[in-house]
Amino acid sequence: MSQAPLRIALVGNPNCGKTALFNLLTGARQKVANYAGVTVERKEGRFATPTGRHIQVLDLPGAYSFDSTSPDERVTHDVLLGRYPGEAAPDLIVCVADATNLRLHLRFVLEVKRMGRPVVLALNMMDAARRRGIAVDVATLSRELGMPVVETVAVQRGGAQALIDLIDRVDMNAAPASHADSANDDADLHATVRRILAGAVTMPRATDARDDAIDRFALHPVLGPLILAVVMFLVFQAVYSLGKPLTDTIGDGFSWLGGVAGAALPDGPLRSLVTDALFGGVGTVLGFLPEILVLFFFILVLEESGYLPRAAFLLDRMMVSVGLTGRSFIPLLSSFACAIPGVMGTRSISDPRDRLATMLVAPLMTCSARLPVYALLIGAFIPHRLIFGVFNLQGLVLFALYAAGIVGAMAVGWVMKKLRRDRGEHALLMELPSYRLPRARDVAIGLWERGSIFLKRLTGIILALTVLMWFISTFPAPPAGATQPAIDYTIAGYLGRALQWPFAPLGFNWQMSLALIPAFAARETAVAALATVYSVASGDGDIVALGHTLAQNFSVASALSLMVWFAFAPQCMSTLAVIRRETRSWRAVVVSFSYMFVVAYAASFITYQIASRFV
Amino acid sequence: MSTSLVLQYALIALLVAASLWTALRKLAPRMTARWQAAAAAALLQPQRGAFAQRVGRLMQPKGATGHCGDGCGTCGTCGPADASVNADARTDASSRAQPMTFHPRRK
Repeated sequence: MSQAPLRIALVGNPNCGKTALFNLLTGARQKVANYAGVTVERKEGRFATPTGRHIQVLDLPGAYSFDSTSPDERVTHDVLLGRYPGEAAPDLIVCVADATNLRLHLRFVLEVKRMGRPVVLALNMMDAARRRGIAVDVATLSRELGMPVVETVAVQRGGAQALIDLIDRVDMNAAPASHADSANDDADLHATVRRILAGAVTMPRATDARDDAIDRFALHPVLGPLILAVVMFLVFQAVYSLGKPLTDTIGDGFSWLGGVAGAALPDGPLRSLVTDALFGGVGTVLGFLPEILVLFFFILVLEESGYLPRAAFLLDRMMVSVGLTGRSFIPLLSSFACAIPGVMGTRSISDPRDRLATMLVAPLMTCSARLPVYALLIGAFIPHRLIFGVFNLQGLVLFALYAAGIVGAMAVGWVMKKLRRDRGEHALLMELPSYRLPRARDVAIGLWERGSIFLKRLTGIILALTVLMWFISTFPAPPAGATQPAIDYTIAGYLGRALQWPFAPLGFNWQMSLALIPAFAARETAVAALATVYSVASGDGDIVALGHTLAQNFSVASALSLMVWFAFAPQCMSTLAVIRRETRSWRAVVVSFSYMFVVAYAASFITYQIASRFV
Repeated sequence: MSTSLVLQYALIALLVAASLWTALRKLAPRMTARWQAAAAAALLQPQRGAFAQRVGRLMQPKGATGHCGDGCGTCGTCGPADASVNADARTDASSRAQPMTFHPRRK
């Protein structure tokens, strides 16, 4: 009979390295970043110790205290107390604490100890502590806390060996249960922490001198926002400067491959499917992978560096003035990858109204799925030229589209604030982590994950929808003696023309209107849909550059209107489904969809009407 | 119609059907799971032949087939579809549902 695995739970303050430790122990690749609130749900993994003992590891959201009320912290509380549905309390609690910030982290360790369950303390980030000259007397600390203490460096290979050895030795029949502490209130806990630190820890300085030096500029009331604006601006410039040449190369490659495949296949519908849908449609979307990776490279570097919580701090006043909270920053930032983790990330917001407000504006942040659409339209309609001899005009437009999403979110937040009856505000309490150089391995893994996600979508839902789009753009065949282009007689032709009338005031032709349907499932599919429809319509099955084709068929005003539509439109279905799941309310879904549709329609209408007069 | 053209149309029909099924499974996982279960149940009826029974067993849904976030697929670690990152790591679906309740704020 196999022995039941030992169940351990990793708990601790946010951003102490629990998930990094979880990854190191289990070989998983859960997201880590240098700010609080990355993990908002319970995660589970397994590993075996050198002696063959099976361990089940739970990675729980960070918590500062058991008194906290945010949904993610409640998960931690319930799991440790054995109140989590369908889950027994863990056999062993591994408290993870940042060795450079024990004054804060030991307080929660003492709270966990009060539970009277088996606890061990993992002093994480010991490498950073040593670099700052912090000396921890582990034996004294262990004696004072009444629990085993081990040193770990979760970002180093073998950095958890001491913890694994300790877990291996744990005998649950003689479990090292911590005894309930006599400290019963918060004041007692703080006093106990101070006493323990005085005996076991030597710190040359309370803060890192290097952090203080950088923060003098990064958090300066005038220079700070300026630096933030420059950083974000440079990121979008880089997307075009670095990503575009690679995108063009991939596009040329697919055109060539499409030509070769077309020549090899017999004449007939299969050749059209391969050249128009696979190479023309899916291949065009694949071409935008380099630009997505460049964007994520910079986002990952910023995440790892510890700069992003500073940005949240800088923007807090502005966020509060528009009815959001500084705590909204991290969920909104996550939404630049995809609105779904952003909506889920709102679990770290304890106030339900603030949480709902953040959830409703999160889809306005420009997710990576919009990037191919923007990149295609900008490449086709915005001239590639330098402004003031330095700035790339295409990069400037991309920056403006991202800014439009942010400004739109702020405006919607402000309106919601005005509609809300209660006007209470919550102060932002956020821990600013130490700066650190991003680790090349973490950035590489992050990029790999993003690339994999993109390719998985491309070969899954985007490919499927593109094949369907090709099908409705090809069948039925035109009747004998038809005088119009063949595509006008297809399902797509009829559907597109039926959809066109509500979108005609926005300057959309029927092909653009049709592309909005699959975009509701996955935004990038709009690019594949346009490529497929125009490729089929061109007849020869070879669309050399979709951008040129679009430039011949749309006006600049229509293209600008379509970009603005994508900035605000209620997409995608998955985001709405996650809002429903998180709020358990269809009302929130209806509100989200409706306001975004109205905003997108109005903004596109205004854009088109103004642009068509001036451009 | 030539044999080549017949084969092309047959292949296209298969690809379109597979694409439709993929899109439906991503966008409406519960509905497709119900359809799949119903089709499997029909094939598994005792009066059916051995081949139909075998197909029915293959078609039986293996538990929940997706989540509402599947349209996005795998947005980083947001977890709608494949939050698990290796064979063992997984996220618990029930942990994701976080009901919201509203109470008047204290003045």
